[in-house]
Amino acid sequence: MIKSEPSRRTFLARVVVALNALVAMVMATPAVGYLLSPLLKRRSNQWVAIGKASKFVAGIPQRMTFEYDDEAGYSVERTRRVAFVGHSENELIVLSPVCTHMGCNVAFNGTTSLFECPCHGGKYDMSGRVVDGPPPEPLRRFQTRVRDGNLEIQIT
Amino acid sequence: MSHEPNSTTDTAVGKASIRPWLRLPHTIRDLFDERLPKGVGWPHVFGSTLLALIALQIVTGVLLSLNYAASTTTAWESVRYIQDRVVFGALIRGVHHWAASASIVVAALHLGRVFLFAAYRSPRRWTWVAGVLLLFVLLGFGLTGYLLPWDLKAYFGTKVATEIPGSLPVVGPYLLQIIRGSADVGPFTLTRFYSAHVILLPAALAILLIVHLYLVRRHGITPPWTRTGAAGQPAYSFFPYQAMKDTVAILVALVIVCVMAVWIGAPLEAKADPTNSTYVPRPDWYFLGLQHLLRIFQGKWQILGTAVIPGLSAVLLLTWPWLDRNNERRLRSRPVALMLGVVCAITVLGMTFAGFAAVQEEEGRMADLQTVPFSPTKESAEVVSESSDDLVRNGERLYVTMRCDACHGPERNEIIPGLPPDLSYAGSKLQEDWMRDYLVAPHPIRYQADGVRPLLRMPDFRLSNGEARALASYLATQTDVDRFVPVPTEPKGTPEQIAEGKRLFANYQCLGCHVVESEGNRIGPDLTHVGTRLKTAYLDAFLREPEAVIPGTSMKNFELWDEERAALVAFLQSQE
Repeated sequence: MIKSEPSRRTFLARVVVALNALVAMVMATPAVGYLLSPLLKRRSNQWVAIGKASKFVAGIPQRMTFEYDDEAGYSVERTRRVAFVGHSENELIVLSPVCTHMGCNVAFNGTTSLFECPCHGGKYDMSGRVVDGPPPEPLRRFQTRVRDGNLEIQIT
Repeated sequence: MSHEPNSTTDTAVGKASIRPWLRLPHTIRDLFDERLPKGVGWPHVFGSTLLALIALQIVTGVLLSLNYAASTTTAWESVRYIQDRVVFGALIRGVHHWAASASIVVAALHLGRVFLFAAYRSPRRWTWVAGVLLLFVLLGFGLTGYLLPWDLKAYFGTKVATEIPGSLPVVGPYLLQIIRGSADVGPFTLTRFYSAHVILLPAALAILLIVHLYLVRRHGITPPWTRTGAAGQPAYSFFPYQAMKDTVAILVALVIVCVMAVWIGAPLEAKADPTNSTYVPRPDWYFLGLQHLLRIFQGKWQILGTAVIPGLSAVLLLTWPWLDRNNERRLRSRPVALMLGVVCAITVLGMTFAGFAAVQEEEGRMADLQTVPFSPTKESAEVVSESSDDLVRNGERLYVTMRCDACHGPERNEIIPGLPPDLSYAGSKLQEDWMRDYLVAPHPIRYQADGVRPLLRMPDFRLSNGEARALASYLATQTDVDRFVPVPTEPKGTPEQIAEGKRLFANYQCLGCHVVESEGNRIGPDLTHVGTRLKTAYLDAFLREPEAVIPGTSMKNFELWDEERAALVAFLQSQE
């Protein structure tokens, strides 16, 4: 009796720990799946017209405000965003105003001809290349196309 | 229980099992090693089970709150999003729904066990009080959580539930306004209930749970069947012996909850619609008894059902440890307490069943009220000002914005099994004029068995004639020409065919299940005006093989010959 007691007890203890661990793992699976659900969402990749293509001529970048339908699961919201339309090596480019350092919105300074970030002094040239400050990468460029005379950019 | 500090070579019987990798702080080790009194065992598993269910509710509740948006314009939509689109969303929602019910059941069993074992006597009186308050908090969770999906059930259930404090004399109307946040159940009620459900009640739960568990640890488990004050004989340690029993009980509870969550899931009815006048409010099952009190006590006696009886019951429950002055714990020495306990338990169960039966009956009556005979009102053609293309486009827009898809779309069965018809082939099935008239004033077509309320009835959306015409035009374009081969001119059949069809209609005893001009039985659809409702192609396909058109239909396949079928269709088409 005395000899068998510890082994029975140890066995039971292992069963209890194992069962509880198993239950916790089984219950955690759906919870983790639920938490990771946003990763499985498809990106919308929609094309949005931001203006007549013919009005964008070479010169200083133009700040364009555009609207699009942002689908957020159960609701669709009309969202306003900004993009800069400029030229780089005779090619039309559309730059995102979001500074690649900390995500503030840059503004174009006509006197220096640079995009300047108000937060930490990041500076980009007219084609989006970093010329000064902390930003690690150039400004992001939107994919563009021209449809029915409209300049369209792809929202991802 | 004393422990030598830093005793790492603890191999004595009773302490050996805790392996180095499980080396726990002393307070927890004391808890694990606590020698429980003799007689503690299976009846004592409910507390741990309830604790596990509460933990499950916290985890699933937090997960649901990540996607839930508490406003009248988004609550139902976000719940539906969780249900349909989020990975494991339906499962998590189902578990939250069923674990709520399970925790009420387990809490009741726990309370019953403590009562039978007379484990509420001094020094454990306040443990009992904290436990009873915890039960009230759990009921509060049920009441507030019920509204959050903002479906018909939620809306009307909450309307009735909040009427109860509102009916109290003098303070009632003010109380009602405070609880609802406005005169009626609306956006403010939803945010209030949400706040209570995720902030106030969890805070109360945490405080009461800490007090309850602290007192349980401090006073230990009551030695079963002893006199008050007598010390129990210590027997096995909590870990692993009682822990094993607790684990099994928790496992059983979790399996039941998960099976229900997968098998039945959490219901989501149509979005709350304050104009619906036929919905029978039904609270969650654990409030059916309270609701039934309101049926028993009406008029000037109403206050008995709303305040006096529930209030006195709560006071009796809370003060019971002070009222019971017996020192014995053995049941045969406590006849009065035992009798009182049994009477209370039977009363609560009986009232719950009576409330359930009453709701069933009311729903049956409402369903009968809905099946009024139909008299078609053919309006003269409206002035056509739009091209038919515009009409179809407007109809499609209406179909989308009014969310007809929620009940009639291809994925509708995932939420509401069965009832609303698939409209993907509406144009092959239904005549456009009929659809237009029906949309202006919907009426029931299918009957239900006595006492069974349909899950959903087509609501009256109060469409204008123009909107109904647009929707009907759009639906008329939704055809399935492969299954329902169109008949070019919709011929109405020769008089001979109609006569032959009439004979067949009698021969096959169609009136056994169908009504024609108030003759026959209400099992299948009313066929009185079927000639203005259904299309020839559909009738033909349906009579050829009913199961292929409506899977699971109770309509029998009569295996008719082609001529017989044509005659029957001709007869049915003559029923205008």
